[in-house]
This record gives sequence, structure tokens and C-alpha cells, in this order.
Amino acid sequence: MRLLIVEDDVDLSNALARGFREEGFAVDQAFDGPDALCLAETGEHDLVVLDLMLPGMDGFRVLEILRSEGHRVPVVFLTARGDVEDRVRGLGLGGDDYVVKPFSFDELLARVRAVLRRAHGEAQDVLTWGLLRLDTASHRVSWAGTEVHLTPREFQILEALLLNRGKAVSRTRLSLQVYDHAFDNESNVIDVHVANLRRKLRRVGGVPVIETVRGVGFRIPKGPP
Amino acid sequence: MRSIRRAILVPLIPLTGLALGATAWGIHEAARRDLMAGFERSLLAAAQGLAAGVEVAVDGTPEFDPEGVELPELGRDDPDFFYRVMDGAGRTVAASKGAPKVSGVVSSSSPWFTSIPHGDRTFRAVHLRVERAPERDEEDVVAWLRANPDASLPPTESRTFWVVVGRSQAPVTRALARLRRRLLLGFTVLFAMLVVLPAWIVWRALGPLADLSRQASRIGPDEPEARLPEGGVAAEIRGLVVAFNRALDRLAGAYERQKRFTADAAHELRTPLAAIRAQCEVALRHPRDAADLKEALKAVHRRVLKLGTMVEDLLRLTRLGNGTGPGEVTPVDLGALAREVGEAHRPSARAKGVDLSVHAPRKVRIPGYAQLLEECVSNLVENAVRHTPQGGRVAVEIRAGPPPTVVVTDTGTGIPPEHLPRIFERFYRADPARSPRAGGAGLGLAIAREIARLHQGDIRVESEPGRGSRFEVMLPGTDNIPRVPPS
Repeated sequence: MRLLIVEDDVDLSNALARGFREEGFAVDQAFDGPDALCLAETGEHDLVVLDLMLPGMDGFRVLEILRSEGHRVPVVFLTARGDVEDRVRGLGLGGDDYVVKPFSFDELLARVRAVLRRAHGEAQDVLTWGLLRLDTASHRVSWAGTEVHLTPREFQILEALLLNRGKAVSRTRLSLQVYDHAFDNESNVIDVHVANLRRKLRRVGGVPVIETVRGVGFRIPKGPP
Repeated sequence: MRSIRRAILVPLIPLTGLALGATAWGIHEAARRDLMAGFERSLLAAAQGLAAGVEVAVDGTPEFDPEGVELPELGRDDPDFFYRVMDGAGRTVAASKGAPKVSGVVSSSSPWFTSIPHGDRTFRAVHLRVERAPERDEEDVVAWLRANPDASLPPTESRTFWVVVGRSQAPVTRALARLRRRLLLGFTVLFAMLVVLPAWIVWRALGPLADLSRQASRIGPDEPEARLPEGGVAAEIRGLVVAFNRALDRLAGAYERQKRFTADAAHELRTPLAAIRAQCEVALRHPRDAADLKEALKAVHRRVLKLGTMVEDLLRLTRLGNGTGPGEVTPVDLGALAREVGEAHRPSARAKGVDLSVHAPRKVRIPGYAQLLEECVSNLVENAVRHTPQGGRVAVEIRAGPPPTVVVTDTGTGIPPEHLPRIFERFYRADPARSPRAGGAGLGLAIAREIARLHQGDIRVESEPGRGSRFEVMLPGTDNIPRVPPS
């Protein structure tokens, strides 16, 4: 999962970036409106955390331009003004959720997860594929009740593939989900992580889960065999 | 309660009543005179008719012979009519039946009218003086001489008679009574109309006022844009409506400033709180080593200090707004103060490559709060240095006035004209980069202005984007009101 955090207060932005990174997210940061728009327009992010009061261009405008350009990236906005007006306006412009400053990091995290889940059409934090269970909140993966120990990177890759069941996910896309800076397509870091993931899953399940799509990347089939 | 309706109608009602009453009385009086005149004319005609029947015989005996007098009342015993013929001595020559006694002698040769009450009637009577000489008709004289052979013919001087004819006034009185009844009815209706109509007109004329007050009372607290319609309103009310709308404009402006302040204050206070909270919570989520925690604590500490300064500034602004300063009012030498401020800011100006100069040729002293005045000038100088790029100049100048003035000019970035009216608002930043990196929280200029106002002065600013700004602080000095001791 790759987040874009747009917040002009450097301390707050850095704290959030660190918190999300430790939760296994890849994070980009923008400190003003124009930068935020520029980064969000790349379409590389699964979600944008957007402060409304920004230098250069306020959050409402950023959101408005993004939506008018057809970007449907989920947006959770941060507002310092407690009034209903701002919240209603933010939601009306296409924001998916909001938190009011000062907020609890746990709450922001929960809301970000909930919005991501909704964006992928999932009903709860747990993704399942046959006997495979992946809990996005507790970061646990199990096969038929047996816990599988994954590194954060492996977890991220598995989560991304499960969220896009039936679809091929490119190496670049996967590296964007895992690293703050995308690796070159030629690099094989993703292949190394996928190989480890396959090995760990095979050990508990014995069923091949991840397929290789030649020239593109990897895929988890729509349903288990 | 005073009422325009009452103010118009209350004097109008008696005035209308008075005018109508006078008119009715005039009509009645004219009619009465008219009727009476006709009545008297016919009386006089009757009297003259009867007078024709008065004769004096050859021997001087008065005679009355109504034969040939055409008066309908003579034939019957009309109780509403009488006549009495008297000689000059008041002796009755002839009278109708039941005729009232009248004193006939009146020293007037023209007909004389009187009113004579008699029984249950009041008669109007005319006294007509008639002169008659004894008959000297040859035939009658011969006849008389034959009858009175011894007597000599009496003298022929004429004798005076009074013919008094009266008629009951009742027909006139009845006609007048009828007229009065009609007048009363007609004028009552007219009076009612003349009261109701103006009341209706006034009510209609004041209708828009009631509409306006209804509309005004419907303006709610969440409708700062609501105004009363100024078009289609009577000229007399329009002034009030326009003034009311201007008052609403001013209130909306104040409301808008208050709203901006609340929003800005929320942002300025909640964002650091959010940063502190996020830093703490993220730091506490996972086990960290001491160095890591120390970094987090340092960052939090820095933010808490800044937040504390901001809260202090806000509280001070409130206190300044209440008109109280800290410490005693003393004579403050503005030149010395400017030089001190200049020294304090010289290192930061030098670091930025900005030339900072102070020009205070004369001693200018004002009564004031030294600490606050220093802060005021310091805020302006700091602001100027911050917005002046390398190689620029910041100059502080003290002018004796009056009023004594501190002028701070810079060759900095300047302030776009659309921001000028608002730069003294709390938390307002002309610089759209609302970033803590840009400096203070946006309270410096607001504090400077409050300090100037506490010293009976104000701040004026002129600016040209790209050329620089010029702040003038007029400082007449406090009016030396003894400070309220701190509670």
C-alpha cells in the first residue's frame, strides 16, 4: 500500500510518515498544494492523506482538481476547523473520510484502512483465499489456522496480490507498494521477495498460490484451485 | 409606546370633528336665516295686507275692516295665527280671537319683528306702523255733517296705528329640527369616513415598515448575507433601510473577521497539537532505543515551547484589547528604544545580508509602557527583516511629530494590495506559505497594532509588491490613566 501524505507541518508529516511506514505502508510526502497535486496525479498512490489548509493551494482545491481530472484515489482529509461546513465540503468534493486535528494516530490508521478496504470492495480487515487468511490490522497471515511468519515486505506483496485477485500486478507496482522509492524494473528485489513468499506458503499449504505472468509480474488467481 | 399612527390620527380626529361641526353649524345657520327671512317676508306681507283694512272715520274713529284682505287664516280661527290692530295709544282697535297681548308702541318706523311666547306656542310677530288720516271722502263728509249738524269737522291730522301680525314659529322650528337630524346623520357618516379613511391610508403607508420589520426579525444568525430590500421602498423609509443594511454590513464584516479568526486560531493551535500527539503516539507504538526517544522528546519539546509562546501572545492580545499594559507608565525615549531594538536585530539582519539602520536625530519622549513599545517596534523590525531579501535595507526612523511616530521601511517583497486591509488581523499571513518555517504564528502585527492603540495611536501601512513596505506607528502616548492593579 502506497500513501501520499500532504501536510505542511513538517513535524506532523514526518510523524505520520514514520507511523505509516512502521505499519508497512510505503509513504510519499508533500508539503504544499501544488506538490501534492503533482504527486497525486502520478496515480501511484492507493490513498492520499490530505490536510485542508495548505500553502500554495488549499486541500479543497487539490481534491477538486484531482476529481475533475478523473483520479479516483481515496482521500482521507485532515481538518483543523471543527466546523461542519469544512467536513461537509470535503466529503462533497469527493473526500472519503476525515479526521479532525488533533487526532489519534490509531484512529487515522483505522480510517485509512477502512477506506482502503472499501476501495477494494472488502467488508473487513481480513482477506481470505481458500484456506489462506491475511489480517491487515494485526498483520497476521495463516494457512488453515497455522500461522505463517512473513516479513513486512512479503506481507505487503501478498496483500497487494490478494487485493487484486485475478489481475496481474507488475513488478513496478509491487515495488511502489513496498518501497518509498520505486526500484528499477530490471531489479530483481521483488522477485526475491516473491520467491521467499512462495516458499513460506508452500511449506504450510502445499498449493501454488502466486503465479508468474511472463513479461508483466505476478498474479493470484481469482479463486483457489 | 409612541406610535406614528397615533401621532397622525389623534390630532386628525378632533380637527376633522371641529371642521365638520363648523360646516354643519354654518349650513344650519344659513338655512335658519333663509327660512326666517322667508317667514318674516310672508308675515310682513300679511301685515301689509291687514294694514289695508285700517281706516279712520270722518270723525276720527278708527275702524278695521278686513273685508277684501286676502289671508286664508282670517276665515278660520287658526290657533297658529293672530293679529291685533292698535292705535297709537296702545288701545286695541281690532284683534283676532285669542290674540296675545302685545305692546304695540315701538319707536321705529320700519317693520319690527319680535318673538312672542303665548301658551304652548311661540309666535313670530311683525309690528307694522301705519299712518292714517280721517276720511275726507265728500260723500262721507256730507253724511257725517248731516248726522252731526252741531259739530264742526275734526282736524284732518293723521293718526298712528300698529298692526301686529303673528304666526307660530313651529313650521320653521320643525324644518330646522329636520335639517339638524339630516345634518347630524350625514356628518356623522362623513366624520366616520374621514377618520377611517386616513387610518386606512396611514395603515397602508406604514405597511411596508411592518413588512420590513418582519423581514428584519427573520434575519437569523447564520445569514450574514441577508439584507433588507432597498428598492421599491418609500423615500422616507429608504434612509432607515439603507442605514440598517450598512449596519448589517459592518456586523457581517465583524462576523466574518471573527469567523476567520476562529478558523485560523483552530488551525494554528490544533496543528501543533496534532503534531505533538502524532509524534508521541508514533514514538510509543513500538519499542525504541533511548536515542530515538530523545529525538522524539526534543521535537515535542520544541513544539510545546512554540505553542506556549502562541498561547501567551493570544492572552496578551486579549489583555491589550482590554486597555491594560504591564508595569508602570513612564516617559519612554523612542530614539533610545529604537536603537536598542536595532542592536537586538542586527545579528539576524547581518546573517541575512540585510542592512539595518536607525535614524533618531532628536529626543522624543512619550508616556507609555516601555516593554510594550519595545515589543511593538521589535515586531515591525523583525517582520521587515524577515521579508527583505539579501542586499536589501531596513530603516527605523523616529519623528517628533506630532504625533510622535516610528517609521519602519524596508526594501522587501512588499504586500499585495488585497492583503493590506487584513494584515493586522490575528493569525493573518499575507504570505500564503502558512508554514511554521516562515516565522511566527501571525500575531506579531496584531500585537503591534494593539500596543499602538493602547498608546492612543495606530499603525498605518503602505506597500508596493516588489518594492517594499513602510509601517508608520503613531504614538501620542497613553493618557496616563493609573493602571488597574493586577488581581
